Amino acid sequence: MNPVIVASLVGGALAVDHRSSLGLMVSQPLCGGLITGMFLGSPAEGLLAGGLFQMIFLGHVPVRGERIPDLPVAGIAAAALYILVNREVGADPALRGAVLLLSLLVAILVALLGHLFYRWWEGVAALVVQPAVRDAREGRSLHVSAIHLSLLLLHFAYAFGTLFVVIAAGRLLLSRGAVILAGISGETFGSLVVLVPFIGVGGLLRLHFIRTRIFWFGAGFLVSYVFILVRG
Amino acid sequence: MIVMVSRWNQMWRLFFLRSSRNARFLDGIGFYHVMVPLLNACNRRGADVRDIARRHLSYFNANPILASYIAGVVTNMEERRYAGEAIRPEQIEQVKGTLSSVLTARGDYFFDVILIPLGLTIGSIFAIYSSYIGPVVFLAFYNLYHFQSRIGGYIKGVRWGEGIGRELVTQLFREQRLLGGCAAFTSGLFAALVFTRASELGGMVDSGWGVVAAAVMFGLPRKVSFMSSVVIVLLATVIYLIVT
Repeated sequence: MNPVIVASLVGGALAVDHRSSLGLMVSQPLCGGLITGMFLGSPAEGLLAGGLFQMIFLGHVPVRGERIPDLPVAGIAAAALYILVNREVGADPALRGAVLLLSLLVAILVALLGHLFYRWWEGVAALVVQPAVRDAREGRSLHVSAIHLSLLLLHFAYAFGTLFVVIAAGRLLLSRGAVILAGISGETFGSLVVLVPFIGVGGLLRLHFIRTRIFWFGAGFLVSYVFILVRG
Repeated sequence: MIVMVSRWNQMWRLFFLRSSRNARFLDGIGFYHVMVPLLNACNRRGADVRDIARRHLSYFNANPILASYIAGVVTNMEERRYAGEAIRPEQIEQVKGTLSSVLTARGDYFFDVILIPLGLTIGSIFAIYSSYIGPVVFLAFYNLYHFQSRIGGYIKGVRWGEGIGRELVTQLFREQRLLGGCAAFTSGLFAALVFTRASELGGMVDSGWGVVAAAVMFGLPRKVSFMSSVVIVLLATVIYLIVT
């Protein structure tokens, strides 16, 4: 099957896990990246892209009323683009770094798009579920269940459609973009693998900046650092 | 047997509570959907069923995992009411509303601020060394609490009724303090590993930039959203890489 369709189907399925409150958390980018990689025949690359995307947002907490990015779909976009574009451009390390950077940037855009879509959808959904409200008041509970569960298809369709368009178009654009970027900066983007996790460290510091917990953060850092130094 | 089927039907429906989340009722239709087997089990038609439907088809906003406790408690109270116990519908509404607000605040904090970041940090520690164990450890760790709260919470709610609230909040508070410390310690461990790995692979210049990036991410004012902070720091890192 076409890899773009495969990745989009995986995305649709994982979006259902995320949006329905099934909540098994297989949709988190760390897991979603690995699953996408397994389906596309390259789990290591999927884990790398999904894992790095996850690390960027490690300290992010979905606060009610604040902007909540659509991380599950974005994580799959990052993994799928990284794997598929790398297949097209080859094994040149300079290009791989550039592909990783562009995949992460596109994934951030996908996360933002998801936020905008679901902000719009929650308003529209109030109108869509009106027949369910009427049926419930008349005691037709089967209709209510049908409407309630059928909306899972929307979550699937949104993720599938978004990923299909983004991955199909992104494959072409990122292949060219990576060549241009690599021409400008050589192999320097290979360092992203070690630098991106620092964004996660900053996010975690932000999250744990509370009196007692910042103590434990410092303790964890010092104990581990000394242990690593001693062991060489 | 009928009761068992009804319980099972309610339980699986809890996993789809948020399917029709909307701006007006939030998860109200989802909660009604969970209550449907109860209506069927009561086997009542006409005014009584409509009465329950009206009461449970309203605004409902709760942490989706701890909503299981609320569904269990409401089921317990409705069943006792139809068995003839003197429970007024307003009492059920009051318990539902109080549990929703208390458990939402506590549950959001426990799961979103402590448990998930802790699990993901552990997963990420494995992931920086390209180990497939990371996602497995995260899923096992998170889902242990998840299923315990989802299925165990519903069963406890049905069994103990409205008395469950205080015990649950106390238990969550205790675990929150313990796991909060673990989450912070693990984050420190993650920071140390990221730093040493950057020193080994990228040298002192790259690790120095990494520290600057982490400091900027941490130091940006809270008014700047997390997403904007990420974009700013990532773009600054890209510029650093191009310049150097």
